[in-house]
Amino acid sequence: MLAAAACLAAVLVYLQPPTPWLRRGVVHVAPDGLDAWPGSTRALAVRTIQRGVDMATAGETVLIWPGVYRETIRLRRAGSPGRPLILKAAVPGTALISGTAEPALTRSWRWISQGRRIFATRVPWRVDALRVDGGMAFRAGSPSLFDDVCQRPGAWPTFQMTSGETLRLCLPDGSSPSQHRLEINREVPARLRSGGHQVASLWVEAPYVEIRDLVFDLPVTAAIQLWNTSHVRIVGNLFSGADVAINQSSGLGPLTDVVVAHNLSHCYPLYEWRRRGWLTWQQVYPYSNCSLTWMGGRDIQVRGNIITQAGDGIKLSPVGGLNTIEANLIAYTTDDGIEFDGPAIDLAVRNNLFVDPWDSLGLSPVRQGPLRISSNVFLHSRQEPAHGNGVLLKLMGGPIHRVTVDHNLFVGHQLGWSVADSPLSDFHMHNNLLFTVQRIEEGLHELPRMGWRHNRVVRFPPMAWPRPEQGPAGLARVLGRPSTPMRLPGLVPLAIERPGPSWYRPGQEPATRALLPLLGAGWIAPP
Amino acid sequence: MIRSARFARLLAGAAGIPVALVTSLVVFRLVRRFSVDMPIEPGEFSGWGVRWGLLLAILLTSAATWGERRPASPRQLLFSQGLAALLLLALLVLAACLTTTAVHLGLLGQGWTLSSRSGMAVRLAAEIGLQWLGLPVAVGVGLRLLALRLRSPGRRPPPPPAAAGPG
Repeated sequence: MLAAAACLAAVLVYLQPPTPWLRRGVVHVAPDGLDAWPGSTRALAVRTIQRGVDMATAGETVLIWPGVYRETIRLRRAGSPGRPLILKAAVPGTALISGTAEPALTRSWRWISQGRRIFATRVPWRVDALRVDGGMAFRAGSPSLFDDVCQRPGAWPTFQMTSGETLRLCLPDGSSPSQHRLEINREVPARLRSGGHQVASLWVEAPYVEIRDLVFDLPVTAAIQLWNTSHVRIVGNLFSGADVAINQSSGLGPLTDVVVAHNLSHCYPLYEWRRRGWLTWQQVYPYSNCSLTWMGGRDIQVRGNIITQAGDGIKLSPVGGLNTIEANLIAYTTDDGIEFDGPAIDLAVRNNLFVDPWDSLGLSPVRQGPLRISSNVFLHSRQEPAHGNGVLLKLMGGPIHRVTVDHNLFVGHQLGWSVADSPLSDFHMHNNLLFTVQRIEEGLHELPRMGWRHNRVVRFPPMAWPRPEQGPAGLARVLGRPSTPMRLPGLVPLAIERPGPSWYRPGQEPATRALLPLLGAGWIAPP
Repeated sequence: MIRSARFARLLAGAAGIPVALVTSLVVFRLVRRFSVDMPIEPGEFSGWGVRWGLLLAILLTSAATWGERRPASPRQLLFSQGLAALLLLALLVLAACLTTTAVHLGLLGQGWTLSSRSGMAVRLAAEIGLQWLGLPVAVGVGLRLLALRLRSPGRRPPPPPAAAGPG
């Protein structure tokens, strides 16, 4: 009898059958829980999110209590239509899914001084990301670059991996590494192929899933990998330091019906490194992802998000369905605001506010379309030196078909720049208000092949360049009629809800402090 | 004597856990090189190893001792653990061959947008195989052990007579 009971228990432990009857629709996960517990209450919570998602069934919520969870999670339990499986923070913004190693590891390191500002130590695995007192350190690709940037005035913390797993760290303030809180990425599987993102904090491998109010902290490469899924809602999350926050580059089936709404994504201080003149654009270019999304798929909606201190803000090129990028704030990026690199089928880009991307729209290429870009506000600041930056359209090779750009407001250096191999067809620009320093045809060889009507071009001298923080009033001054309201009725202010997670206060961390004057400048207003 | 035999059998039964962990490590090592598009995290299969180890340990120890027949020897029990591991590995290899062939024949994976579809087929075979073959293999080997005992002559030795107390 005892043997039979033991066998039955072993079979149950092995098969791990769903046990929703043990709970009331909620699986509790807490750092002080135990994976052997049923997860039915906070007191009986399981310890790992992986255990929680393995137990949950359609219609259940995996409720994650505050704490740091250093896990790679594979979400393989599916929801069903009307009964999604929900992964959610019990207190929004307090459940961290971290890609960092245990803090005790870095505290145990023995550092050797290698001269002024520079220290070295042996590390147990390849370090791809390092933070010093919460701020991301710059990853130098070579010893010469490391030595160079470390000695520059205004330098930020920098690191470099040498062969033989030695980590070199530059601390420009001359302090010792032991005086700082250092965080590095966890050990990740070796890359077996080049390109794409093969490592993620959360793999979503089942349909009908919602992910809400979580913080993905320093994920190694991607935060969320949409692998073999559909009907996914990703709402109200914070992504900090992700190379791509939400990634879908390959998988077992087409990705359909995805909503990415009111999230915040940043790689602070990526933009500051260049803006403050410490690094050149070429030197920060290796960080050119740091994007909220890198997706294809069908029926994709990306709305109400804040993307700041990023490389490319959004990478999206749907392969079918109806798709929108709407009401997002994309500010301070070191590459494209949005990159459409692919078919970009039936994609509408509307009511977004772009502030200081390197260039606003990377159309390289748009192979199919139709892509409609309407009712957006693109604001660039004066930046020196001007080289391909401050433009609305970047046409960087490949065919560009069926694109309409209408009813937008643009302030920048010039309308666009293109390379010779950028054939346009069915490309229309109409009813846009364009404030530019350069002539409209400057650098844009394809202009004669664009359908061009009812656009208003206002040229202004660089000295009169209005700052985005000045709001619409600054633009009115450029027009020379401070008291005249804007001539694009219904566009400014953009009637959109405040972007970003509802629980997040812009300015609560250094990454979003620069957004505060923008949000109060009058560019956006609640509908 | 009887107590030490029991203890040895218990140890042999508990060996199911390390045997299963080694099995999961072998599968991890074999599959890792094929997992081009979705790398396997270190230790991803170890949870399965612990669960299968518990299953092996309890099922096979029960099969070795259940009933009135003479219990299986610790050596037989250890052999059964090894047999289960080898059988599972063989089945996984077979499953991997079948899925890879299915991919090459166009019966599987036509919609996959991966750089290595056959690699993914191997991985899927391993993961699904571990999940669904572990129980039948453990039960099968346990039944074999039981059948061997039922066919063998001899019954369980009677317990030693209780020592007579004073008076």
